[in-house]
Amino acid sequence: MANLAPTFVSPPSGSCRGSLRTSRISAIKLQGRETEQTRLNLGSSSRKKQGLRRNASKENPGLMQGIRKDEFKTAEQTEGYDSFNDMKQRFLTFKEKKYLENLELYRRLAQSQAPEFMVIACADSRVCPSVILGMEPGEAFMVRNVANLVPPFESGPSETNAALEFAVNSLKVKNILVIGHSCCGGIHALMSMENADEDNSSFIRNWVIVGKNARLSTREAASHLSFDQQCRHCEKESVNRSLLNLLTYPWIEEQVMRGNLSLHGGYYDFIDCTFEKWTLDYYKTISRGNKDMIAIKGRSFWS
Amino acid sequence: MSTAPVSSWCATSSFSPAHSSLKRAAAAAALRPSLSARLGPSSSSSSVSPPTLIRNEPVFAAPVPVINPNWREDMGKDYDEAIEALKKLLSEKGDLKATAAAKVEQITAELQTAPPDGKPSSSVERIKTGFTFFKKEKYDKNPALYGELAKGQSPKFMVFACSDSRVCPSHVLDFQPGEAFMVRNVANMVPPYDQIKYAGTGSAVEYAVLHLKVQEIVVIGHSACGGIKGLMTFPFDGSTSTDFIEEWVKIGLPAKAKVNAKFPGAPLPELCGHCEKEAVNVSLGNLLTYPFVRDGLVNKTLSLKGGYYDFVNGTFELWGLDFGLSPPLSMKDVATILHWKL
Repeated sequence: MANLAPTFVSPPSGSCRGSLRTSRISAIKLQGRETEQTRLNLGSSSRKKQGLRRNASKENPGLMQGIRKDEFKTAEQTEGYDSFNDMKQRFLTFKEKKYLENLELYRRLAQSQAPEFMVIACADSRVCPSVILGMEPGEAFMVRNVANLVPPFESGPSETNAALEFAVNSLKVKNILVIGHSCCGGIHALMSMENADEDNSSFIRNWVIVGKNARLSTREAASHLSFDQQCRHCEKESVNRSLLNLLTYPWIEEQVMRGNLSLHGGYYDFIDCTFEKWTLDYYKTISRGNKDMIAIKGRSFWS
Repeated sequence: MSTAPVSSWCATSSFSPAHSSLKRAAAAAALRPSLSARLGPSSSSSSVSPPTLIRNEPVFAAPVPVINPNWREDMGKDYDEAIEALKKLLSEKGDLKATAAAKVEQITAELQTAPPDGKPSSSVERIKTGFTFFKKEKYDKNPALYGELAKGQSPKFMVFACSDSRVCPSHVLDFQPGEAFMVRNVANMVPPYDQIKYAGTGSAVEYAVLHLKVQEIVVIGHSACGGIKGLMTFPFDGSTSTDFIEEWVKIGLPAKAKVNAKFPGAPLPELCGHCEKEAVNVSLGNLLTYPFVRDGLVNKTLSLKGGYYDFVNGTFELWGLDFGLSPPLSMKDVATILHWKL
């Protein structure tokens, strides 16, 4: 049976599931693959992995492009088989280099997680906080959405505030960090919303409108600048706006007031590779009686 | 050089050492004449009480290029320099003495009342260490890659993963910068098409498929998922115990129904395990409700995959969605899901 691959690292976890209807494509691809299955046991995976790679290349030279390279890939992958193998190599790399090297940590994490950070970052492929801030598994509960926006409490349920509620009330994180970045497509869309009336951006429009206050204050402060500089301004401004929106959640404000939770903003500039970080100063912010203006402290800049 | 804003910068940076902010502000003053002019009057007029220097403009005014400060974080030398600069200023402008005194008092107070356990500073240290490592070991060592990325991104993958701290796909699937447009939310759910309720996810999918032109969308579930456990345990009988969580995880209700029907009476952990995988399939089905996703599938420019990361056992499962068109049937009936364990 083409579908059931006999090799499996862990003990079999149950019966084959789902509908195992085979299709023409899968039969062809999996057949070639099956004969070269190697067993991957804990602790001896590196040698076997090498063997697997060699076999794959021996089997079908055309599929070499499925093997993941370290450089930025430009090869087109149109075969379904290639992409499966690609994912497999990716996971095996992780397993060999990280999981097996830190079994104790992963066993502990398997029991429970207790991250100190909640990070809200953009979905942009270049700004994953695990990479740029070196967040290891177990350290940061992470939400990623377009333009790292946090809608206010009043706007009702959304994916971002469900995560906020879980992080603050269940996981009891100690820090929330909202990270903006340079050349953000979402902020670009926010800033150019009135100019173009594209039919197919209604989703994007409905979402980035969350940041409309940031756009307003950007226009007030920086309207004399070029559009690119305005976008840059807005990228940081929207982080501050998101921090203020965080305070609209009663259970967040309560924890901040008690000193159990700190709200931080960050800005990653990948053109120069610099990182700015600042912290919301809660008492100064509210003492002004105007929750529209943020007070900050602890600004750092790393380059 | 107008040094009026020098003292005004002090109060806003109660956390970082005073010297660095003074030095930075001195540099800032040289580059931002307009800014210093604005701050000058306010600081001298509010000499009665410690001024709360909350700037009523965005924190980082964009008019000037980003300053790349080269201040050092070692305390001794720069502190003396800062004090010297302040003394010099006050000798030039004696009327600022009261203001300066108030500010210095404030700084002293803030430094004294630093959090006893030093937690915020250790968090800052953690982030700083991480960023410094990234910059030295990755960014600086791959100028070609990061130079290209600075110009734009063209990721091949769009990934939906759970917000759980243990399952970041950059680790689990070794994604490098530029490879995967990544959305992370509670229980890695993809809601059905709804421009009002689910604009967040919709905009991400739209951006990825139409603008970035990703080739694959992968939805990855995982073991011990708190969101799925909530889905299985919340009653969904009209009462809610959370503000937002139930409203969000109810997207996976079809998975709950299927799992309960298929494994009646099974213990909760087992049910959760099945539901974690079934919810991925629900999300894949929901992706089919987006017209641009369907177009991509029909034109074979896009493919969908489901994944399941089991960190208890250290395994990863991957399966693909074969999409075919058959006029009389619904999309979900036609989609073939084949399973392939790694």
